[in-house]
Amino acid sequence: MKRILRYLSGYVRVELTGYATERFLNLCTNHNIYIWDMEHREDAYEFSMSISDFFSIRPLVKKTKTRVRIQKKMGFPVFLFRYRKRKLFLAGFFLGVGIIYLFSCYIWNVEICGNSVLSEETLFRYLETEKVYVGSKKKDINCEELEAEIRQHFPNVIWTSVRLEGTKLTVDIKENLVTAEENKKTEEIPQDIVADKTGVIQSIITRSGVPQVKAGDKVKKGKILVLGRIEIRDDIGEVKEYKYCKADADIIAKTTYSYEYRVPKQTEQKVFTGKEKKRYALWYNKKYLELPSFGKDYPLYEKETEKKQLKIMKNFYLPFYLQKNTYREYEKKTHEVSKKEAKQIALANLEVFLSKLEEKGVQIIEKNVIMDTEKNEYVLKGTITANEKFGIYQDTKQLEVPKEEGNIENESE
Amino acid sequence: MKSVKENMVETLELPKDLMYGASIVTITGRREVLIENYKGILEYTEEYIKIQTKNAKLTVYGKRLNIEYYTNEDMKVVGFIKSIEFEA
Repeated sequence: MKRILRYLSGYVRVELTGYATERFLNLCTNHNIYIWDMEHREDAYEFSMSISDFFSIRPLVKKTKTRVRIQKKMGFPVFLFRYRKRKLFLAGFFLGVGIIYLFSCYIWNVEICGNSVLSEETLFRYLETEKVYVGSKKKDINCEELEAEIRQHFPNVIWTSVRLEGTKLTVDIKENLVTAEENKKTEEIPQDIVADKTGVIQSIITRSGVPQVKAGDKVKKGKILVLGRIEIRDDIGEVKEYKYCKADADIIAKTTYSYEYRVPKQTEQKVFTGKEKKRYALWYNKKYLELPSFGKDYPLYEKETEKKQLKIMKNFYLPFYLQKNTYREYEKKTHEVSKKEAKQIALANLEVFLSKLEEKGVQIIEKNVIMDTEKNEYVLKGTITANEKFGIYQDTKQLEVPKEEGNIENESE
Repeated sequence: MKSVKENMVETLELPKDLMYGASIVTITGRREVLIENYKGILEYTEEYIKIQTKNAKLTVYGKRLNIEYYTNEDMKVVGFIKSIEFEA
């Protein structure tokens, strides 16, 4: 602390020689002149004192017949005096500080975390309408207000947090993934279960609704399996009224899938020569500048780009992007596919197809595939038999209750 | 036989440095000596510093003695201290 004050006010290093040096030092203390860092050096003393004190010791020096000589001038005022002519340097310094301050007033990066259903695109677009985007002023952004507005605009968002860190805005979002309301709504609408493809019913367990088929029945696409309309009959056996409900049943049916996969006999393959070139490019506000590179361009190449925003430190993003383009040369080569190879490729494809089906909950019972050779290609053909959950929902037709007017008429006759 | 002043100072527990004008010497390890209540410097070399107090002369012996600061009230001496001696 003391050192900083000394530096700011400036001080001089003084050499003292002469006859009554001790007397001079005592006089200094009596005149309240502060002296520090005193050293003794063969016949001479060296010490520091402030600049203003140095001007007031003239009479003491005369009185004691000593000599003072300045060795060094130190401190901030001295520094300013020494560099008084370097005005541009000073201007540059302040300009630099000013620019950093000015740039730190803007947002250079917006990040969204925790969204799963809402896409980043929609959120960015929404934020843009709220005047929050790269380049908007930090001052105009009220984090709490923005949080409230996001929650209002997207009802699925149950929690948000908007944070400003340096020049980076982070939006954290938690979405409500269980949409309870939707489930309720569909329950209220009366629905049938309808066959979505042709198959043989293996088993049917009905929880609500009227089953229209039984195990062993062959059904075609569009056939109603479970009816969501329940007839209530009176004593005579005539329909008194209809009650509607949402049909619900576990139906398992045997279905067949046809499968076909063609492998051409000749294929073109990309063979990379192993040569590659890297070129760098700069982006600024949709302007693009590719730095020149040496050597010829490849006749055939694959281009891989990597774009990165430049930043200072961790959170200070700049409006510049650096793009790295990697060019990889390749040659086209035709390749004769043998039957063995084709079979391998086709079977691998079949495997993928089957595993995709199994992922959907389909149980595969049987598969019949044959390899065929045609003019230009090999064909793997066959059928796959499988057990699977069956049926899709369809709205029930609402029927009018047969009017009883006829009965009344009969009676009157 | 104590004087009246001494008796008074003792019974009233008055600070002795004020009443007698006695100097206070604080030694911190072998490196630092803080001297309060002195009148002036008589001699100063690298080997010793002779200081005038109210009723005695005080000499600090040592090697590479430096005066870190000195004001009207106190001074701080830094260096390798050997001994401190009073002269009448």
